[in-house]
Amino acid sequence: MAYARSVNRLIEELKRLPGIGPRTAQRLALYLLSAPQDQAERLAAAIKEARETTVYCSVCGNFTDMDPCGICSDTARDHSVFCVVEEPHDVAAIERSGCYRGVYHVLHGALSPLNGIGPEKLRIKELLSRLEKGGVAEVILATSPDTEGEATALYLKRLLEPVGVKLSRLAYGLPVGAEIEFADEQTIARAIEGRREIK
Amino acid sequence: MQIRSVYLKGFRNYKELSLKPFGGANLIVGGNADGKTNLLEALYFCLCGYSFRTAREEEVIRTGEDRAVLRALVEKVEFNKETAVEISGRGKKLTVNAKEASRRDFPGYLGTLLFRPEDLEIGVGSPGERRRFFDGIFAGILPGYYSAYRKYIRTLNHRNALLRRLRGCDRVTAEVRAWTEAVAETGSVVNILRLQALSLLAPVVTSCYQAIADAKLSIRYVSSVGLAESVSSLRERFLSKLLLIERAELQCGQTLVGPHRDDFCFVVDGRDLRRQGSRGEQRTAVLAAKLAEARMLEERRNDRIVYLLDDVFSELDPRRRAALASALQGRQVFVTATEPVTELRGYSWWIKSGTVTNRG
Repeated sequence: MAYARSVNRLIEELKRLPGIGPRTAQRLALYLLSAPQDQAERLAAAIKEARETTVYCSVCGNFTDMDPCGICSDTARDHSVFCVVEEPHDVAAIERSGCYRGVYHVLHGALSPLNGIGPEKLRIKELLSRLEKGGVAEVILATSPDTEGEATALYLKRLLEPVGVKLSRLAYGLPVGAEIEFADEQTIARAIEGRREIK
Repeated sequence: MQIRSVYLKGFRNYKELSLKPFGGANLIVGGNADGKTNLLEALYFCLCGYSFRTAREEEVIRTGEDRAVLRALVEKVEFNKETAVEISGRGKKLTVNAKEASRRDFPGYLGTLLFRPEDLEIGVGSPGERRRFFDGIFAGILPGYYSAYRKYIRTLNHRNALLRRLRGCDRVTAEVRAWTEAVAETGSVVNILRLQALSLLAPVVTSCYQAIADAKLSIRYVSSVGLAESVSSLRERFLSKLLLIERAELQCGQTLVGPHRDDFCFVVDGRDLRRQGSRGEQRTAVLAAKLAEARMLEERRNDRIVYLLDDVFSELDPRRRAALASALQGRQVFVTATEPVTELRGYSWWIKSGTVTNRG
């Protein structure tokens, strides 16, 4: 190896990160070594602090630095509507829209037998026990509209039907603000299927 | 659409080659293993952005080179496109007009006619070979077919992985049930789209067949699920069928019915060619299907397409050679052969060990 042991170790650790290949890992490592001392230390401290203070919310499963999280402990939100999503970043995306006032449930994944992910690896038991406590009027199944997300929604639908809450699924269609010509065939077909009468 | 020029470097047995093809028939003549099919593969790569021969594309890199580079100038009615493909140990890079692109941006993607000698054998081959043949045609003539098909296969692979893991269990879990529903949902879409595509294709195949053999050919879709008018009624049917055999599927660890188990058959005057057809009839049926595919691709694109024929003429008798040659008139065609094809008037390229030794 061309580098000192500690540098190699840094490169190896960076390589484990998603989306980072050997070349990028090497570039990042060399950058961190040549950058001002305090910059590298701030990064290390930020990682350490985030890891130490961030936990999963014991209610919804989202990342939070206080338990329960800000959304779950917000009394102004509608606690009778649950939005079930795959990942914490889905919560962030829906929150950015600013138009959802209910609460969330993060599954931390979707069914994917090819990758050995079954319902026992998702936070489904937790969802059921939240629903058992009562007071829930609607569950929005907001898993992604891909193969794994659709199957997860089908699974949850069967599982939740006996609970007797209203179940809904996010609508499929054209992205707002985009032009039709750039949408793929499947999206357009879904949008035509789900078209609405103008009243 | 026409290929104006093509350049290969470090591709299969080609060290470096520049070619300005003729606008009509291009006959690629050479002995076995001289690189005729390799050249056809390179042309297909430049038109479609992927190989028709292998999924492990790094195997096209010539031994001793670190990368394979292909470039072509493709002329279309409206505009020209310069396509380039570069394959190295780090993967594949596609560009169109010097901008990074995907295979969907390539001018001949789902719109190039490829005809290979093994296609002629599908009449006597396995249902899987016939499905591949027809799925390939449908992908080009029916928008949305390919993505629906891919979605089904992905769902099916998930379900099969789950069935394999639970193999031998006799309790059907809710997880299996969810994937069963997903397979029924995505599979019935494929089933209905196949019928739709076939209703477009079949009349054209019938007329192409009639022109060669003077008999009435039809194509039947043999569905393992059954046939229905709409996706929703088919889904119900598919689902009840799957629910009935779920336990058996758990025993053997795979999904036993669905579009991946279906078949297509050519029928001439009421006879199923799979069982009651001569070799000649089966080959004529495949040829008719290929010619119909070409005609429909041209209609859909409102442009002539490029034809790539790999050693097909030697497999046909004079009457069918003549029928094929007349269908190729006015098109840019690349035909590989071990000896000149008298029916084709055009330009010949003699290939020897990856170089052009003669032309004219």
